Amino acid sequence: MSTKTNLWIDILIFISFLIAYEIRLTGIPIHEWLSIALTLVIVLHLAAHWDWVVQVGKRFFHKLFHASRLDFVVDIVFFIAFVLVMVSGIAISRSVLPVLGLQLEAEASWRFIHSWSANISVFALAVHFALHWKWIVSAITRFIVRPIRRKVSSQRLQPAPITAHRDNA
Amino acid sequence: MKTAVRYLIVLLIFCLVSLGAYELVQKNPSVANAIGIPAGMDDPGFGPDGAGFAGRGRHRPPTNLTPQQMQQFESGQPSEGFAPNGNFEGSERGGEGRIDIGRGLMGLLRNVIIIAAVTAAVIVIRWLFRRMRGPKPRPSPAGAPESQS
Repeated sequence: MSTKTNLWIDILIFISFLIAYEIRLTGIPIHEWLSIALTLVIVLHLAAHWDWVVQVGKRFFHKLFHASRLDFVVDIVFFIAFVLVMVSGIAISRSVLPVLGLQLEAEASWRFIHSWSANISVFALAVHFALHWKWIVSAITRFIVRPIRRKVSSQRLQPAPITAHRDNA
Repeated sequence: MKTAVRYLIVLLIFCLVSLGAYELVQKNPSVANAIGIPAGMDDPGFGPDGAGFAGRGRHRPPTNLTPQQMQQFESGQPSEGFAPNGNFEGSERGGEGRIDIGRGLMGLLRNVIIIAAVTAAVIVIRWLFRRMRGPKPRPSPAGAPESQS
């Protein structure tokens, strides 16, 4: 998968995550369906970075202090927190499960886990964001900022259309 | 093909972790206590839908009802002229799930600020950490003497 595609998938995940997190903004049905769609996109994101996951996983115990080790730990925490958000969300679902003809007993413990794992996910997302800051800045500069600048500068450099002046004097 | 296999592997891991978490919480009530859920929060409550109303906004039987009203309360049938919030889906838990654009946007902004603050903090900590460690020694070019006396 190209860097440009990765960047757009990441932007999509980030925006969807923020929107899905705010249940007051979407209401329950959109919150639940958007979260399920987000899960599929996150699985795609993980599949796209699978080589990195395998590589860092293999050398995890080789060197004690390494930047990629921290990334790996944060990513695992994020993954587990996100899975907990999804599982607890399904357990207390009021829109998705009834559509599928299922109804689980909504326990308070699942609600508690849902809210806490969602809070942990936000912090894990922030740390994940920070640890990949350089890549994000360079990818945004390369694929979003530069093309816009190029477009703007090419529009400025274009000569003004020549209009014929006819003097009928 | 390779991407599809990876996708399936990640989905499998996702499902396994989900199943593990579900089984752990569902079959082991001590987990709920271990993570700090107050005792009794899982009680089915007194409302017509039992555990569905547990926790916040749990229904408790009013004490000043006549036997007929109590019977209505227990059967879950609303009395005449009483419309319990229509069919609004988020009403049973104190309005949770109600769309409120203003508050929603404020919450969104709050999350963006939290993410920005944590990102800034991590970047500063990493920068300080690198500065404390100092620059990495550059490898000497091939053939160059290790030290000059």
